[in-house]
Amino acid sequence: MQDFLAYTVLGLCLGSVYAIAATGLVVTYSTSGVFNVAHGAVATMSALVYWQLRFGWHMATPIALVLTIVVFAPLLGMFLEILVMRGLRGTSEVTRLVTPVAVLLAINGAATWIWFRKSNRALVPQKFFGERHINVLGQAVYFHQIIGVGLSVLIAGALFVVLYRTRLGVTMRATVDDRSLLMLNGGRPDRASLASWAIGAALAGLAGVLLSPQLGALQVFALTLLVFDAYPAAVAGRLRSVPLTYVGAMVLGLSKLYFDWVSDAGQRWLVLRNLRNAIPAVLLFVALLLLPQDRLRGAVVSRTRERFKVPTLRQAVLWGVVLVACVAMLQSLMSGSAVISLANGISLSLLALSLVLLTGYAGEINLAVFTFAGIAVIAAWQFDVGPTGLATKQSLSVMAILLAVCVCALVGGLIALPALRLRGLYLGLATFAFGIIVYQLVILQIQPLHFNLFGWKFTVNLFSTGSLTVPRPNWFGIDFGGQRAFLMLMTVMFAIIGVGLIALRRSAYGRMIVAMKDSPAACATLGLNITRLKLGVFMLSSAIAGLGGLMWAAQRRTLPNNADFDGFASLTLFMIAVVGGIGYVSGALIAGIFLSLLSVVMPNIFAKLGSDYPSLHWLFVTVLGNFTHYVGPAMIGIGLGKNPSGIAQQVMDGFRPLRKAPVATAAWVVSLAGLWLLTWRGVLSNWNFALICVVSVFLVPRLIMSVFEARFADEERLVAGEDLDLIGLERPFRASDRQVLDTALGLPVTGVPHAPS
Amino acid sequence: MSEPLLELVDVRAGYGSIEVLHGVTLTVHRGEVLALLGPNGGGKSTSLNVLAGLVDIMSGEVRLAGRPVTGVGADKLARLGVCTIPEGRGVFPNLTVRENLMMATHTGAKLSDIEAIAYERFPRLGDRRSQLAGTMSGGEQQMLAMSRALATNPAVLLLDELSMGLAPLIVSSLYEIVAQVAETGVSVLVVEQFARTVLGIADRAAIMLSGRITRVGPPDEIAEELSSAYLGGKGQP
Ligand SMILES: Nc1ncnc2c1ncn2[C@@H]1O[C@H](COP(=O)(O)OP(=O)(O)O)[C@@H](O)[C@H]1O
Ligand SMILES: [Mg+2]
Repeated sequence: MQDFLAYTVLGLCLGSVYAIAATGLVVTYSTSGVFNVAHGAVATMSALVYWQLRFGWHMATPIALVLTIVVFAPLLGMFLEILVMRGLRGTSEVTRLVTPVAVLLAINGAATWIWFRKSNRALVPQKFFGERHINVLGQAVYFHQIIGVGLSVLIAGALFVVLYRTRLGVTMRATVDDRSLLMLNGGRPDRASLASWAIGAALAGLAGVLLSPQLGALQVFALTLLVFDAYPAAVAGRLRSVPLTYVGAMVLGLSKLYFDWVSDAGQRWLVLRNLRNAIPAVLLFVALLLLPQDRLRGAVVSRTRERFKVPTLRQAVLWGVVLVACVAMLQSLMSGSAVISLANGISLSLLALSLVLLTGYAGEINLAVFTFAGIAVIAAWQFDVGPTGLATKQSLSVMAILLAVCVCALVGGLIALPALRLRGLYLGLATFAFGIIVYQLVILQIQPLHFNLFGWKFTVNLFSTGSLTVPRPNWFGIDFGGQRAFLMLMTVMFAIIGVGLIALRRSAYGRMIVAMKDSPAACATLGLNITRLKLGVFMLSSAIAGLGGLMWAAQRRTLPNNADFDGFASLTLFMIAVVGGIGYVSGALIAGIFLSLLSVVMPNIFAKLGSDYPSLHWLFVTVLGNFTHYVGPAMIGIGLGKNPSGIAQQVMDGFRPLRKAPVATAAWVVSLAGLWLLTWRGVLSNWNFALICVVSVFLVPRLIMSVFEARFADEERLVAGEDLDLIGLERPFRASDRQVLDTALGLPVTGVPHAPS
Repeated sequence: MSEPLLELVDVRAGYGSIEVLHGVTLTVHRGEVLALLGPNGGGKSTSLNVLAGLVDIMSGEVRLAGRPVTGVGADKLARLGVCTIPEGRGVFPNLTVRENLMMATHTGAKLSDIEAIAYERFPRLGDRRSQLAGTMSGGEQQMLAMSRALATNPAVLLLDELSMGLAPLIVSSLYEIVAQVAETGVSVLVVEQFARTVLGIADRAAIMLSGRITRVGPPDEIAEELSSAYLGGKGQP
């Protein structure tokens, strides 16, 4: 009993800090409508700044604390609001989820760059008042913890007064309700959001400083994850209610400590050793499923800036062939390491394809793509290699792939079932929680699991050696073990699945999926079975993720269990896929290649430039190289608010003139092929060929545009096949459009354009 | 009639690249009630939103008390005394009645005074002061919006389709209040589609068709022309 009470006290101490972290989230969400995934990163950055001031530069604790919590964190919050979050107005829920993810990665990248670039430095923060403590029922309760409890009580009171009793607070809440109405009432929404981001960031900073001593030495992503643990409390408060958030935080703190108590700090059941780390994710999942969804913002159909066009099947097949041909030609010119980078990219593109179906077409969210990759690997590995250990087989068999794909589809369905009523942000959080649970309990599981099913005894090894080796396929007498052959195999797979997805999107089923995305309510009234539709999409998308994941693992050959599965890789891939253009198969291709290029190839190029020009080493390596390595991908994600339809669409629009000038286009393609031949024979150097290709891709469409200007006068008239509904949205409405509209609607054509006089 | 208070001068405005108002000139004089009528989609709400500072104009000028206020933000105009109840959504649904009224305190008035006046005018609101505005009936929401608007002591009141979805009895009592307010020297612009009730309290009326003001005149003359405006004929290409 005494133990129970002591653990209760400790649980409430932990809960208090979670409460501080979670209320910060609630403040920003309830006043700006953005779920700030980057909250954890703000906390991390603040904890590092505090460490720097307090222990790096030996300032007095109160000064360091004030500089961190009252100056640095609020400034960071306001900076984010002005620079990034303001641009999110009028964008879809996916964009509003992805942009903070990009911010998170950017901040963490910057933190790594500033503090952990050199080596694995150990930055050890200390508790306030060091180890001083009092004894409560035989347990040491540190002054640090008592301060945490005190602060959380103070903050709860202060927030209540500010949000509900002051004009500023009410204005902050009114901003999310109705921005323009607020302005009509003399309110200043920009200032209100600024204030709310400053308060939210200050709370994040405080939570970061309070939580950081738990880790021993500071680590960027570990600390961010520690703050993530507080998210279920915010969800318990439905991202809105401060009191409920406090209740949720206490439940969270207590569950962790009670688990310590019953499990003897995790020593009692080794299989469940990691459950402690999964508790927040489990609670998050449960909270999402159980809580009534009050006026789900995510379910509101809103007019957004995103528009995706669908290519015809013929175009899709053509592009598939072009892709395979291009990759084949390119790889013949590329060096071994470049081929590896390209293959890495294509393997990621395969994974990203699952998101095109799920998010791009159906509007659902999965923030655990890599988890499905992990599940697929485990499944295939059981089948192919068995429980005995190392890879005994030379080839990934078709049966193993089928098994892995089926398992993934099943798991996807199982996840979708409870999550069916969730949408948008909440679905994203649920899948993220699922990813964490699987990571902690399955992928980090190094205990062999012994089963006894009706006398049939068997053992399942998950990641028992800490890593799994996945062989590459050897089918139809072709050995795909070599990097070039495997690259081609993956490219062909990508093309086939891509064409399949476009065919699916063009079918009646595809139209139902898109209708479901646009308005589930309208679909239901039309008699569509939303449940079955959603389940089907989830299963199919998980199956694709499984297949892609298996190829990705085979590309890597050896897969350690501690990388890529902790959630951040999935977040990154999701973000880059959205940036690439989530509604397009080509967007997935761009995403994968981007991800592989940006983090590896660009820094390498800068490193080479740095060694070629030593006087500019500082610029190339220290600034540009590190920048592209640490924060580059995230910066691109942050730019998403400006162009929510993604890169793919821009590229396609750039190539549009080519369709009007087939002869010139053919001439261009043929001359490129000729140059490739010359390069292949060694007449032209690879670099020159690459240069010519890149330059011509940018120049030729523009050139064609200017030479054949006369033909583009036609563009002034509505292009046949252009989507009538979108006239005026994708380009300005023209007087001549009226005639076309009249014809299309079967009205007598007036002949007199109804132009404003 | 006395001097102009709020003016649109040859204003062209719209959304994105689509022009909705094709050169609108409209004047609200000090202390008058001007009714702006016309069929759906004619651009009445857009005109009102231009006056309120919510929609930017492409050309022309907006003047308040003779001074150009083109491009001045809605919040600033509100603080200058231009008070708007927009179409269909005059309240903050997730704030309580009391908090909604609090949004009128930017003029420096005390919340307790505002509440006292509002609950005296609409006792129904007094019973619901802690209720979320979004959960109240349409009539009650409109009463709340009206109370909040009047609490700011506006110089100009812009009302967009006050009658939308409300019972006729509530509509006429709301307009009675508008008439009382106008008596005190406040200029009022009322936008309505059909409601002839509004012509009873208007000093002047205007008809708007396809983004143009087609007629301005005394209410009784306008009443006669209204039906022809709705039945097509005029102004249709
Ligand atoms: N937010 C908007 N975006 C684009 N077009 C709009 C918007 N609001 C109104 N419109 C268009 O402007 C025109 C005039 O609308 P509105 O001013 O609301 O007319 P009214 O109030 O007279 O019914 C309509 O054709 C309408 O479709
Ligand atoms: Mg209107």
